[in-house]
Amino acid sequence: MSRRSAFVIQFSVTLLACAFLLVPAILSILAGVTVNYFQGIVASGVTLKWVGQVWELYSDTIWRSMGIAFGCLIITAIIGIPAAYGLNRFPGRISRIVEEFVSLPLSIPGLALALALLQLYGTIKGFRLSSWFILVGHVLYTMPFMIRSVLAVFSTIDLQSLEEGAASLGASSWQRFKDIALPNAWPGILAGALTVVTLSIGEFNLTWMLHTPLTKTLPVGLADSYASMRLEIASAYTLVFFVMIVPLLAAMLWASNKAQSIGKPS
Amino acid sequence: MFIFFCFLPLIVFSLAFLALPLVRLFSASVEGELGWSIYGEILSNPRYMQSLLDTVLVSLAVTIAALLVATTAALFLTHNRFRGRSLLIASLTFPLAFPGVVIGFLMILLGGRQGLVNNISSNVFDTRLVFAYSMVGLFFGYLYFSIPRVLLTVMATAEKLDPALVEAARSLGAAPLQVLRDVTLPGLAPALIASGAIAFATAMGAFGTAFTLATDIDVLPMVIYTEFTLSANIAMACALSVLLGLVTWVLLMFARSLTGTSIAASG
Amino acid sequence: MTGTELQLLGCAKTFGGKTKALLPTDLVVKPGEILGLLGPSGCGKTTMLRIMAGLETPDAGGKVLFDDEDVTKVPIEHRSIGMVFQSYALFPNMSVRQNVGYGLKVRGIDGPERDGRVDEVMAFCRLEGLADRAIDQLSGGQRQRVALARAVAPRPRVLLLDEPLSALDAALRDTLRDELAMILRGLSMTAVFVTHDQSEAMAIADSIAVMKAGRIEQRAAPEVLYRDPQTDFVASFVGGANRLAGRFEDGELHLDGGTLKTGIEGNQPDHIFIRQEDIQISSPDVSALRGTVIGRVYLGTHTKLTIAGVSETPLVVSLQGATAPQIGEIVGLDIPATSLIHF
Repeated sequence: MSRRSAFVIQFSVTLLACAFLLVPAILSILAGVTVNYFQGIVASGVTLKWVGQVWELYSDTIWRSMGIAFGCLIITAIIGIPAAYGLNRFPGRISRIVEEFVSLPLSIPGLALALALLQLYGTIKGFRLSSWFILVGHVLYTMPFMIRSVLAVFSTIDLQSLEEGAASLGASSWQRFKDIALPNAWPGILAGALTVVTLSIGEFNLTWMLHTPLTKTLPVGLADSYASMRLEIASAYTLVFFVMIVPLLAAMLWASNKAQSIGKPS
Repeated sequence: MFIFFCFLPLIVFSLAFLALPLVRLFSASVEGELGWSIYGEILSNPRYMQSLLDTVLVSLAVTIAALLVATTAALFLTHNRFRGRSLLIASLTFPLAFPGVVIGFLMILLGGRQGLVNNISSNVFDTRLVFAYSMVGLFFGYLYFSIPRVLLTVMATAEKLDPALVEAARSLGAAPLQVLRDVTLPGLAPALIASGAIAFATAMGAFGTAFTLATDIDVLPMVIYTEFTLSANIAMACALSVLLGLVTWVLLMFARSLTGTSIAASG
Repeated sequence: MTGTELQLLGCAKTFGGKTKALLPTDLVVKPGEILGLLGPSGCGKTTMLRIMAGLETPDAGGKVLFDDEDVTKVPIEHRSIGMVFQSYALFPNMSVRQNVGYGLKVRGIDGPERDGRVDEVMAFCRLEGLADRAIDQLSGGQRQRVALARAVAPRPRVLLLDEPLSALDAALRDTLRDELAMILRGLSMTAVFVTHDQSEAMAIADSIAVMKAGRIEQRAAPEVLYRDPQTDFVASFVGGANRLAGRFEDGELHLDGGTLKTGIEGNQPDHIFIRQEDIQISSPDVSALRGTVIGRVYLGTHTKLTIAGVSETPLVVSLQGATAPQIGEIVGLDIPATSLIHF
C-alpha cells in the first residue's frame, strides 16, 4: 500500500467517524428548535417554545443534577485527595489492594452496584427517598477518577523527592501534605474535579435504579421525556443537556491535558 | 499515623457503600426460593445464557470496531497537521460523557422510523431502512460512545511515541504497513488494551441505550432490569447482577494481565 | 573547627531481605570535615547517605550518632540535617525566597528574623536578585545554589549532598564544582556528599571514602588516595591506573611486551599498577618493554595513547607536551620503578 492511499483511507475513516458522531447530535439540536419536526425546520420555522416548556417541566431535575454533582465533587475531594496522597506515600501490596478495590465500580456494571445499594439500604426510607441515596451512588462511581487523577500528578511531579526535601527541612507529615503535596497537586485535583462533575451530571445506569419520582436527575428526566413527550420537547431537553455538558467536557479535557503536561517545557 | 487518617475516610466509605452492599447483593441472590441452586438455574436457562452470550458478543464487536475506527483516526490526527484538525478532534470527542439514554435517542434520530437514514432511503431508493430498535442499533449506539474514549487514550499515547522510532524503521526500508505492524501498533498496545477494556466494560454494563431503543433487546442489563421491576424476582435480578459483574471483571482482569508485565516494569 | 561529629557504627542495609546494599560499616566524620563518598553506581554510597539523613533505617544493630547523641531512631524531620537532593527537589509551588525560608517557617521562625536569615544565606550562595523568581525560571546552576541555600538556611548540624552536580550540563559542571567547593568551605559545616566522579570528589572533599559493593575500600585525603592507593579497585578507579599482570622472577615482572624491573623484593605480587602520566615513551630499540599504539586522542594539554601488546589489557598513557607517536607505531615504554603501585 502506498503512502498516498494510506493517507486517503485514514482520512476517509476519520471523516466518516466525525459524521457518525456529529450528524445525530445536529439532528437533535435542530429538532429541539423546530416548530414541527415532521414538517421540517424550513417549512415550520425556528422556535424556543420547546426549550421554554422543558424549563417548566424539568427545571427541578437540572437543579438537582447540579446539586448532586457539586456534592459529589466535595465528597470525592475530601475522601479522594488524602487517599491518593496515602497511596502515593505508601506504595505496596496493601495500597494496591485498596486502589484495586475502590476501582471496582469501573468494572462492575452500574446496574449491579445500584441493586447492591438497594438491597442493603433500600429499607431505610429517609435515606432511600432522598437525593443523598443517588449522591452515594455517584460518589462510588466517580471516586476512582478523582483518586487516579491526583495520583497521576503526584507521580509526574516526583512527590517522593519533594516530600524527602520537605522532611529534611524539618516539616512534619501534616506540613508536608499541606505545604507541598496539596499545592502541587492542583492540576490533578482540577482535572479530577471536572471529571467528577461531568460524569455525575451524565450518570444514568446507577441513577435510574436509585431515583424516586421525587428525586429525578437530568438524565432520568431525559429518559422520561424520550418515553412520554413529543420529539421536539425531548430534543429541546437534550439540547439543554448538551449546553450543560459540552462546556464541562471541554474544560475537563483541557484540565487533563494540562495536568499531563506538567514538568514538560511548554 | 497521619497516613492512616488519610486512608480512613476512604476505607469507611468503601466498606459502607461498596463492600457491604456487594456482600448483601450476593446473599440476597441466594435467599430466594431456589437458594444456591439459582446459579444452576441461570446456567441451565437458555434465555439467560443466550442474553449473556449476546451481551458479550455485542460488547466484543463494539470494542473491535471502536478500536479499528478510533485508532485509524487517532493516528491520522497525530501524524497530520492541517487547518480544521482541532475541529475534527473536538467533533470526535464531544460525546465522551453522554449517558446511554441520550445516545439511544440520537440513534433513533439517525436510524429510527422517522430517522434520517430511513427518510433518505425511502425518498431516494424507495426502501425502508430502520435499524435503531434492534441489536444493530445497540451496536451503533455503543460504538457512538466508545469512539471518543478510545480515541483520546490512543491519541495521548501516540503523541508520546518517539517519532524517531518510525523514522528509524523507514530508514531501514520498512514499508508503511510494516512500520504500522512492527513499530506503531506495538508502541500503542498498552493504550489499545486499556481503552479496549474500558469500551468493553462500558458496553457490558450499559443499560440506558437499550432502555431507550426498545424493551425487547435482550442484553443482560435489560434482563436484570425486567426481572427486578416487572417480575419482582429480586433473587434472580441479584444473581444475574453477580454473574454480569463477575464476567465483566474477569474479562477485564484477563485484558489487564496482557499488559501486566509492562505495567509492573514501569512501576 | 565548628560543627557536629557524625558517626556510623556497624551500619548495614539489606533491601527486601536479600539485597545487601551496605555491609556493616563504621565511619567517623569529624566536626567541620567535608567527606566525599565516591564509587560506581550501586556501591552503596547513596544508601549510606540516606542512612545518615534518616531516610533509611540501618539494619538492626547499626547506629547513627550526631556528636554523642544516638539519632538512629530519629526521623529525618527531627534530625536537623540539611540535604541537597540529586534532582534538587525544589518546591515548584514556592518562589526562591519561600523555598529557602521553608525550613525556618516549619520551625516557627517568622517575620524579620526569617527574612534576615534568608537574605544572609541567599547572599552567601550568590542568589541576590533571584528571590521572587519561580523555580522554573531558574537555570540549572541557580537551582543547585537554591537547593544548597535552602538546605543550610536552618543551620543544620550536618549537611548531606546527593550527587549535587550530576543534574548539570558537562560544560557547567567544572565551574560549579569549584564554586560549590568554595561555598562549602566557607560554611565550615560537617558535610557529606555522594559522587561517582573522582575529580569532583577531589575538588570538594577534605577526605574521600572510596566505596565498592557495599563497603568502604579506602578512606583518606585526596592526595593520599591518589599517591598511595591500598586496593586494586582504588588504584584503578581513582586516577585510572593501568594494571600490569605477568610472572614475577627476581624482582622482574615478565610481561607480553618485555620485562620490567620493579625493585620489589620479598613478597612478590602477580600484578602491579602504574599511573597513566608516569609512563614515558622512548625508542623501541633501547627499551626493555615494547608495545603498539592502537589509539591516539589529542586533548590539548595532553595526548592519550592506547598501547596494545604490553600486558593482557591495553595500556593507557597520558603524554604531556612533546609530539606523540602515531597509530601503528611500535614504541618503547619507560616505567620508573619508583612510580609503581603494588600491595
